[in-house]
Amino acid sequence: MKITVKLFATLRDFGPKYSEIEIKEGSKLYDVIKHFKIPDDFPLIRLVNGDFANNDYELKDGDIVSLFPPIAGG
Amino acid sequence: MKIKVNEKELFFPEGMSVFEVKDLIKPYADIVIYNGFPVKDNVLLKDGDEVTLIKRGEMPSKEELEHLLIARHTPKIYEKLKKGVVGIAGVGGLGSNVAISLARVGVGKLIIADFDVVEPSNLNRQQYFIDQLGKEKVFALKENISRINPFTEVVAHNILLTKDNIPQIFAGATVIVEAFDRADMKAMIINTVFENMEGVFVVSASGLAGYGPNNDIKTRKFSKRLFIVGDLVSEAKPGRGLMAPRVSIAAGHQANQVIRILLNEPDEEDEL
Repeated sequence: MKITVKLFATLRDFGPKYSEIEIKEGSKLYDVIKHFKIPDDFPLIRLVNGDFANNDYELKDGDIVSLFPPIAGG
Repeated sequence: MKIKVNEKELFFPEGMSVFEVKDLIKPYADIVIYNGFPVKDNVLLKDGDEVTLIKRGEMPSKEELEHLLIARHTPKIYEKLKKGVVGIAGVGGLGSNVAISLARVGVGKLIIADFDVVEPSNLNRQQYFIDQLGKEKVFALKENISRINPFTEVVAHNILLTKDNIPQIFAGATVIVEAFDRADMKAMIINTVFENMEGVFVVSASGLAGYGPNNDIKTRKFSKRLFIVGDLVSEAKPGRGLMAPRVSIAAGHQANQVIRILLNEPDEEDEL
């Protein structure tokens, strides 16, 4: 199945701003994070179709995954 | 004729002067302001004039301060803000500025949490004073807010926030302002609120260091409950420090977004 992945800000070091990727049925959000080789300890906000999702979220065909890294400073 | 005295509308007979009103309402006032200007000479009043009577150093009553805020914000808005409960996670550059803005507009209750003390380097952007160095930030901020609006309730937690204590510390808040410095802490609180605090909004900030263009700082609605303020790229690091003007711009965005949430103003989700 095919999903869309959007990477923000410094995550673009790991892939393009916008991409469509093929994944296996039953893939989880964590598998997408691994696909882009984003380290486990990288601070991340994960959204699927605009809603919060955790690593165990099971993806469906056509899902839009947005990954956002908070930027230090306050 | 109708004259507004200290933001309250009162009726007086025609032909009264500003000093007669002062003698009637507040004879001990030191300063008389007539239609926005301090006056030393007596003036004959006319319908619709505004008079403010001030005694130097005197604390206004809760009622007087409420009238002043109602006059500035209109009654319905003030009543909604007064019922607002807002959590502020971290009271450094962003959090101290947001808290003071929200107290100035009359938000009813602020729950503030941080474990830091005021350090000399903080004075470049944070709302503390030199005589507060070494004091716990949450207690220093509570003191400063009480000098601006003593009728905003401030619940101060001198504590390190974790995913385990956040739901309890901020229980009852409609919206939580993420005002941390570290990226991992920002992610931690956003994820914790989303996973464990149903219906609670988060107004976060990312990318506000340095002195880049003002208008690169934007408020984006990332999801139904998440707003992110900033340019999304300007990280605080050696050579690009956190400076008062840009931090204040971001904090202003955050505070205004909190007000929009408390007033149920609709915001469209941004195309990400």
